[in-house]
Amino acid sequence: MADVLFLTVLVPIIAALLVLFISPSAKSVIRGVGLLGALIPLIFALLAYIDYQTVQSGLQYPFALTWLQVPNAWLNMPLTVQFGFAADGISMPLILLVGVVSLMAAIRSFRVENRVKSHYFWQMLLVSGLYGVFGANDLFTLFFFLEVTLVACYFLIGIFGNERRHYAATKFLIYRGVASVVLLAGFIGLAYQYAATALPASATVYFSYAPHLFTLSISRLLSEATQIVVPQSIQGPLFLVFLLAVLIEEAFVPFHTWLPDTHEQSDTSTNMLIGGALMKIGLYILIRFAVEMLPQGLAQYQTLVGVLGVISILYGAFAAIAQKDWRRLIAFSSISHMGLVLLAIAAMNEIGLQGAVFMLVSSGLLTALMFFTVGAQAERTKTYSLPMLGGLSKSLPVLSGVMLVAALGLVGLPGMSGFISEFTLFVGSFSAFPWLSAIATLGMIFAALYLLYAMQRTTFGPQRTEYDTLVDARATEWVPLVVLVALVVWIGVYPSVLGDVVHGTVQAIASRIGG
Amino acid sequence: MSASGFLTWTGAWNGLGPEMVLAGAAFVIMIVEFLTPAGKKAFVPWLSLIAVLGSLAVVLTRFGVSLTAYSLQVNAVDDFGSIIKVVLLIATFLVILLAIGTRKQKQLPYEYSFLVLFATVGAMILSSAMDLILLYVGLELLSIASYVLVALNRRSARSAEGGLKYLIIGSIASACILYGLSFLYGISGSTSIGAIAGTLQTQWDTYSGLVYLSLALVLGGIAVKISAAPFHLWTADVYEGAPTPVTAYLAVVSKAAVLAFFLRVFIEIFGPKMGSWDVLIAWLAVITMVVGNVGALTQRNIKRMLAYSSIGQAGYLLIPLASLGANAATPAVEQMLSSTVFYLFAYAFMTIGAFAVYHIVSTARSSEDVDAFLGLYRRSPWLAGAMTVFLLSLAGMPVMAGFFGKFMIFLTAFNNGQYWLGVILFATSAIAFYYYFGIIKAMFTREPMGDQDRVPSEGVTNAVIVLCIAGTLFLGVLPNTLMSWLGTLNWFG
Repeated sequence: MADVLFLTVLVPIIAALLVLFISPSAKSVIRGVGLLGALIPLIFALLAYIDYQTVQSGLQYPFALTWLQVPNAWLNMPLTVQFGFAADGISMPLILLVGVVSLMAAIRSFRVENRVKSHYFWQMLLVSGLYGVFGANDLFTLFFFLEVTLVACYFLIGIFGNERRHYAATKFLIYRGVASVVLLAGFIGLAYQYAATALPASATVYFSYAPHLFTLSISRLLSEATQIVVPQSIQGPLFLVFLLAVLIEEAFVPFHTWLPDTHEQSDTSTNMLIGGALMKIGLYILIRFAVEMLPQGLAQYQTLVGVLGVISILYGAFAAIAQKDWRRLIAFSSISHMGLVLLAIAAMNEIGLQGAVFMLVSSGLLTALMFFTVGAQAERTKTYSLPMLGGLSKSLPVLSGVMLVAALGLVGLPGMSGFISEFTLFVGSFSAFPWLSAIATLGMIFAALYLLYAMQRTTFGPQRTEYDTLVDARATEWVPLVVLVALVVWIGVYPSVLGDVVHGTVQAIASRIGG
Repeated sequence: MSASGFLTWTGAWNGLGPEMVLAGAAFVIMIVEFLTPAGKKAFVPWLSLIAVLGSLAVVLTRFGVSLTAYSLQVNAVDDFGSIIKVVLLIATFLVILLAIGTRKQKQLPYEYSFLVLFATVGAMILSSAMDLILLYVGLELLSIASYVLVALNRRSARSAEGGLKYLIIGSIASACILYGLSFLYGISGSTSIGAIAGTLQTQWDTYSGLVYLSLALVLGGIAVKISAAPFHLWTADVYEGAPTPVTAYLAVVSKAAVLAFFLRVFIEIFGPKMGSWDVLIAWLAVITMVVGNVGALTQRNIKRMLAYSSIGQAGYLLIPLASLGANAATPAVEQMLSSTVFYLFAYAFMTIGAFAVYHIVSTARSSEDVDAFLGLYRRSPWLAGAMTVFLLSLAGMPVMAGFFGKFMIFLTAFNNGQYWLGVILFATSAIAFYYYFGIIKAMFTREPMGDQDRVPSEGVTNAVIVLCIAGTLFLGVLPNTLMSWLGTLNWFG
């Protein structure tokens, strides 16, 4: 069981390499390999999730291979770079989210007819990268997989996107490339600062791995964070470095322009992976490193983070109202929802953090579902443009119905995952920032406005004659529809399925950072 | 050092065995090449390959031997020299193999098969000589053979132009180095590096003006030879004009050898007063990184782009030495040396590999422009994949040799407190992403222009590419293998 996380990363890579050796004309074989490459890791992720010990604190399923050893890396301390994995209550749900979204995207990719081989090759690499980012237990491993996602997405957008794909792919690469450079600076600063603090502290504090105090291991850094305190004067600037990286990575205002372009130009399965999983990386990193390892830095800039969150919530919502293209609308809606997570993180309390993780999972599932249904209707009507659509509920009752479910989920209808996420998240944020949170709730009202208005334009109203003969959901399309809706409702009705795993870890963090 | 003043046969073999194998073979191959009738010379370069492997075998027996038992008065046999010779010989092997693969284009007459060997003998001497005279002989052997190699393509005016430029600039650089070295002789009255270092320990302050003049002249000459900015202006023209295998040779072997000379002479002679001149090298590194990577941005010609990229790489290679200033303790020196050597290995594989793919593609298209790579994925997916590996490695992406190379250099800079050098290393690498990804984008996301045929590539060139991919990925996936070996080396005996 210990190497289960390693296997989630390895299997998609093997699938990607296998795809390379299959003849391009054997499309169904390639699709089969791609499907298995997404299904098998999902089974592993599911096993890990079920077997997760909720009472145990700390990271579970540790797995490590030594990548590189430097005998004298800094101040005579050795450095070990590991290919290491582990998961706790925050990363475990996200790993499972990657599993679900990647399988649904692999099924959706059956519809790709052009350059099937390349598509599955890059998609499998992206899936492996996503598992790796969330499962990593080493700064180096995490950064490595982040770069894998960057390159894989670049090719998926650049090869399979729409007319302006080159522009979108380059923009994606530049924004996220800059973000990862900033993030790397943050990682390096974190590792050096923790080593610089741990070295003198080791005279009085016991570290079981004593000479290896210069460490990149996330679990060791986390345990050090409970024992030593990096000086406030360093935590503050270092936190700002992480915050800048996350703002770009998560497309928060004012670094948001790349996300609508990316979503508008990408194909549906890529959009599902980007919207459903990739866009959760930044906030995961913020929780993992800024909240857990630099709590004083976060506390210093708490209000700033909260305000930035509210700006993104409102700006995303306003911009979404103005959109005429479904994909841009979802992109802005996703920015708005991720702003909520930022606000909840800024609250620095247990319930807020729990709501943040819930929101990451819920928004991942719903965004993937949204992109899937919108992509499915666009495949039939050949357009994403709201003014061109109308009355689809007559010819596409199933797809229209599920699209409505997804929209209501995003709006926060009780009984679905969106509601419980927003509820817990706001409970947390109100206790810290009553005024900001009150303003933020406007975002939810706007969400109802733009999503339901867009739904109405798409599914209701007079049906255009050219849409009379459209065929509703096919057999392979039923799988993502049913699975994603079921999960969204399951979490909404029975939140413990997620909460039990998240709770222990979040509680431990909150008690430490004083929430 | 050998006790008697007379050179015995055994003494010479112990001290210069690998060089003797290669030089002897070069003379034999020269005669064989002259005597073979014009149409039947195809086998001659293969003899050179065998000679390189033979020399490599001798080098490998020299690891860990006793410095006093093997070294000559004028030439040290230590692990630093030996590991550099391994890099030089592997790179020479790949370059000759690439040259064999390009024989259809008739760019290179068969004279290259012994000229390359002579140049490599010079390079090897440079990496281990402990005497100014021998050093200079090595430098000139390398340089003169290189001038001829650049101009070897008689049908091309650009090759002749490149050769002439390289000859003029290179000779001036050699003269600078010689002039600089002559002051050291004047101060110490000896050509032995050991004796000079001993004299300077006590006489540095007395002759500080002359010492710094000497340092500046030698540094300037070396900067030209490794194409460090602002001494780089010849690079793009010469790299563009030279036949591609020769370009790869200049970029890798020539640079590595002069860098080895730099490290040995500077650490031995000027090392004790490092704190007073390390800023000079730090700035040289910074300017080189910036000029190389920014200069590459505007290049459309791939060979010129790779030339500027190799200038940038030279900047990275200067960082470890520059970072020693604050901390010249033995562990820091060892870290500096192992990060430099690691990067040299990585650099050899990725650069030669990139030039090999470039050669195939540009020949098939008769174009050196980046447009030659448009839609390469459609025409030859494996070549496109190989080029991607080399470019990602040059850009410093993980799982490629270049990443760990940069990582080690970065750690060295940080370990010695030269944080700003590490930061600039990252900043300029980020700039480099733009032009490396420009080629990758052309290969994968664009459609080919003109003919859609497969790009023909034949066995020998493919072998070079496969070997370079193997090296690049091996050092990227299992960097510890080489790192732990470097950790066991007893660098300067």
